[in-house]
Amino acid sequence: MEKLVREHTPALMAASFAMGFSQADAEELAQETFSAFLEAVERFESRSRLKTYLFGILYNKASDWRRKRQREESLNTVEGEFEKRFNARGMWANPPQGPEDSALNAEIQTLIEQCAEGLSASQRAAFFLKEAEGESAEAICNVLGVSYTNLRVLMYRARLKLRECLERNWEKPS
Amino acid sequence: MMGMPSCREVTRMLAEGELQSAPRRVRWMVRLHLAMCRHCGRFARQMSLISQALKNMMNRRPDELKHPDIAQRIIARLKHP
Repeated sequence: MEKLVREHTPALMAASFAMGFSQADAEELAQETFSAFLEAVERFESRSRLKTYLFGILYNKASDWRRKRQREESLNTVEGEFEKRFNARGMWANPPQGPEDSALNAEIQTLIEQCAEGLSASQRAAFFLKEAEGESAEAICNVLGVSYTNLRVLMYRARLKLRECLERNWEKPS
Repeated sequence: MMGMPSCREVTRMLAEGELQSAPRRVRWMVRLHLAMCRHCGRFARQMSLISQALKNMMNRRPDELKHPDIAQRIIARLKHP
């Protein structure tokens, strides 16, 4: 058990941070995750990866916490607003503004990180699993308990939201 | 999608981030569209910036996360709840 905790605590803490929890909350979530795992260890099928399985427990715990603390924001607005940028033929009526850069610089990095604070826990979790853990779409769907179609919609809305925020807050370099 | 995709369709595919798993013909049509449409080109570059920034952000693990005290505290609480 001690080996398990030592090995997986940093990744679980990082996942909680990515979902926007404080260090104290992250530690408590990790503890609850191990506790739930140890209580139901016989249900763990060795064909699933242990780390992915732990992420699944963590994500469910984190979602319970979030539900108790706040209702998740409705994300349909960003999609609706984006649709208005196109004409009936699907061409830009209101083209995108914001950075033209191909290379990421420190200013844009900071801006995007600030914008990412507005993402939901499930969106942050999906990005963490994809970008930091390199999980497959199938594994991410298992952890979040969503279909592949839902995952695509979730990522689509998240990226649109980040882009809109980037455009809104970006100032042209003088 | 039969002919050249519209700007709406191109942005949808870019924002879903699943273009690499689309059929080769679709990927080729999207690339062609991006070469001709500066607005979608800008949108594509912004998607790439967002992806890079999130990758950097999600891979940043402060040293304190690796501190052995955290795991030790958790082990102690699991043993004596």
